[in-house]
Amino acid sequence: MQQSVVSMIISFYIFISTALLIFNLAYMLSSGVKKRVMDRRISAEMEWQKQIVSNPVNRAGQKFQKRLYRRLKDTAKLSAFVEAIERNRNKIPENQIVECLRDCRMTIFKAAEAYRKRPAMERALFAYLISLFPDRAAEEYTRMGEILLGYLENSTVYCRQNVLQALYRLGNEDALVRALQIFQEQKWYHNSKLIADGLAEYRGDRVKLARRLWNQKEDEIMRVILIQFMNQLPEDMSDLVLPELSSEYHEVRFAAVRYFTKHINAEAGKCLLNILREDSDVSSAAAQALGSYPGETAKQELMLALQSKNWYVRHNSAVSLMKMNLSPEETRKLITADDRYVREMFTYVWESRGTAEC
Amino acid sequence: MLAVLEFGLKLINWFFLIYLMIYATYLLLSVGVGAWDLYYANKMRAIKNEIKHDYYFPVSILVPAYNEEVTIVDSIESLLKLDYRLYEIIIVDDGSTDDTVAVLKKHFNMIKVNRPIRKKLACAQEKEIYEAAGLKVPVTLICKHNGGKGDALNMGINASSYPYFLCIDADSMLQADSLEKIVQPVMEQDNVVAVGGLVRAAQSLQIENGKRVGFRMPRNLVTSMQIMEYDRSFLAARIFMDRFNGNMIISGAFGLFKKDIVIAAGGYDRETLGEDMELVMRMHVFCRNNKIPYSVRYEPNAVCWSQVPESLGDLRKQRRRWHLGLFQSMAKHRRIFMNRAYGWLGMGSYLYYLLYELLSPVFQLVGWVAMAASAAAGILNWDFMVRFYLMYTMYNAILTITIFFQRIYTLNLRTKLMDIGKAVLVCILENVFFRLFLDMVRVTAFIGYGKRKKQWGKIKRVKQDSI
Repeated sequence: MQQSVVSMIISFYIFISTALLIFNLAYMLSSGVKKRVMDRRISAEMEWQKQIVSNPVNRAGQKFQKRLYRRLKDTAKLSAFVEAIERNRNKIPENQIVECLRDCRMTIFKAAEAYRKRPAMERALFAYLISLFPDRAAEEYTRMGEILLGYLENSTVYCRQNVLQALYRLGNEDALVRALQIFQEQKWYHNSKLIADGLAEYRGDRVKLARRLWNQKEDEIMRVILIQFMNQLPEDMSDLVLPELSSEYHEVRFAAVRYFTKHINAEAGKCLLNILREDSDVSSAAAQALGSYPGETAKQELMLALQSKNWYVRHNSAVSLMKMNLSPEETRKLITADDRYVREMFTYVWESRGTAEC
Repeated sequence: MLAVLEFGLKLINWFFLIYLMIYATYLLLSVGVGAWDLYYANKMRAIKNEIKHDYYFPVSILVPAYNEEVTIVDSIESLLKLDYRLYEIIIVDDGSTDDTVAVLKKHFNMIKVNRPIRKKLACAQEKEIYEAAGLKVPVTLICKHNGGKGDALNMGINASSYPYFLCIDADSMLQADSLEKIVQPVMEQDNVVAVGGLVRAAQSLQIENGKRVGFRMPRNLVTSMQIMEYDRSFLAARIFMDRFNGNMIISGAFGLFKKDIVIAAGGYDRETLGEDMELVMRMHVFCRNNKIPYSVRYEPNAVCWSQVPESLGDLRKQRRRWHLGLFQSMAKHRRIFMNRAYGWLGMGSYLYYLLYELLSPVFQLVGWVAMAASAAAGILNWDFMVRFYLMYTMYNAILTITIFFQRIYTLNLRTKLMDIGKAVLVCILENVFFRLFLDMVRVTAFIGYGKRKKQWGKIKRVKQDSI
């Protein structure tokens, strides 16, 4: 009796595992077929896209718009449509694409609305499609920003990323500001580098955007993101960043110090010297930044910082000193210094520069 | 007396049957979950649900090496071909007695430097440091006194410049997109402290310029059986454990770690053979004890190709080392066991590793012997015992081949029909003979434990292009 129960259980497990194996085999075979079907569909889609962009008369008709709507509404078809757009990039003149997107605006808006009720992964795909629009076509779609904000409800990290990408492309400042506000309110984690680099791709007035976002920042994470974003702008925004050199948040100070490595500011230079004297973790960033502030005071402070207990402070000070045209006498003094920390680190950086130049 | 013996045998039989049934259930669940997760991840990628960015954050790649003159150049060359913008490579030679240092110096035109290294983690003293100029990324070679793999990795961490480090074995090769893939969990979640990648047998790989061009089942039976075994453990068990943040091991062959947490937790243990597992367990304990929100993730799309032993002798050495490492790590962190404070780690993962990894060879051996003795004594009928063994083996073989097929389609591997036939055959052999062999190795692992507990495993390596 007991033995037959065991046999029965094992048989049952074998049955399930065999079913799993058959499923996997079927999936493996069907995915090969699906891939071929998808490749054919993409090729056909590429041809279709080429035809419609070059034929404005055809695309004005109801029939065509219905056909396009069906394409956009079906996720599998949309996937092929998106892939075809990516592969057709540089193959179709941008003027024609812009014209076509203008003509299809109503249909695309209708599809975007329909996607609001779809699962997050499908919304992400539609947002991705919008992020592919050329700049000049994006102007026609600015209003799409409000619809995309609706995509953020119950979203995944991928959906949020694609929505942000689309908003950068649309250049809809209000929608983007609201989106980032929602991120802060919901306390969603979104990698700061992704946002900062993304903001730098924003199609509209980035300085205006930066100042507006700065005024509505709520936490230190957003402050770090915005400083990283401003760091990528050629415009000087020192007035906003300068007070952050004395922020109580470590990461904010780091970001501010890095900002002033690129954006030279006399006032910031003095603050950087003070930070260097603190001999803290942020001092290592200050030591690096001071390489962009040549001058006797900076040089003397960096020489002193070579004695720091912090390896990074010593290393970055040595690297910065190398940028400051030290006299042979000063170089010799550092190489033969009594302090082992100074001697070892400076010699290493000095020799490395030689190696790099070789 | 006979009655007591009979009762004892029956008790063991029942315990063993329940033990095997639980394992069978676990295996089924993990394969099912693994299949679903991989299918779902593929679907997500197909419809642009992935984070794509041209640059994430800088990573230091640490390559500890001991007598790796044959493979080290191939490995470093593969690392130089990674599709990633900012990283550095630090090779730590742990006092090799062969020409590892010489081949590296010659191949990469390395120059001796006087680089000071801050010792945040304890490790043996460095002897010489070399750097290569003019390569895609900075390459540093640190030659140090012998101290073991954990010691070499600690040196690498000390010398690293970036906030995350990736450790890989000197006989391993990464695919061009491996680094990009393994950092993605960190981009998606803010509390990730470590990420493990998928390790596969390099002997099944055909690679050109860091790109995979083909897959084959090698002729060598020992190697083929390990391919199946790796797939089973990396594709089923780890994906399943990942769901509960319960992975207790990230293979030393391929893992990404957050440096400040590793340093705060004390770095690699220099006394343990299984330094990779011990570190992950310690990170779990450290984060839990200090109430740091954390997760240890597994990324099956980040692939590392590592050479597996080709002879039974080498395999025996490697597995002995692994089993002792498992024992040392689990013994050191025994307070996790059934401790509610550690959540799933204490109540699930530790229990699993204890019963189905550490003690498994003993249970298997005692169990099958008791069943055979019971059959001989007439307590159990032979017919049932043989049928049970065959069915159980068939069940395991079916699940193993299922995982093999899963990997074929998720990695988009092109394979020949003959290789598939070979894989089916190998699956059966692996479940009949290979597991028994490994159980024997693991049971006898403790012989000579005291003498060799800090040695690097010496295994014969061949150049990748001659595999």
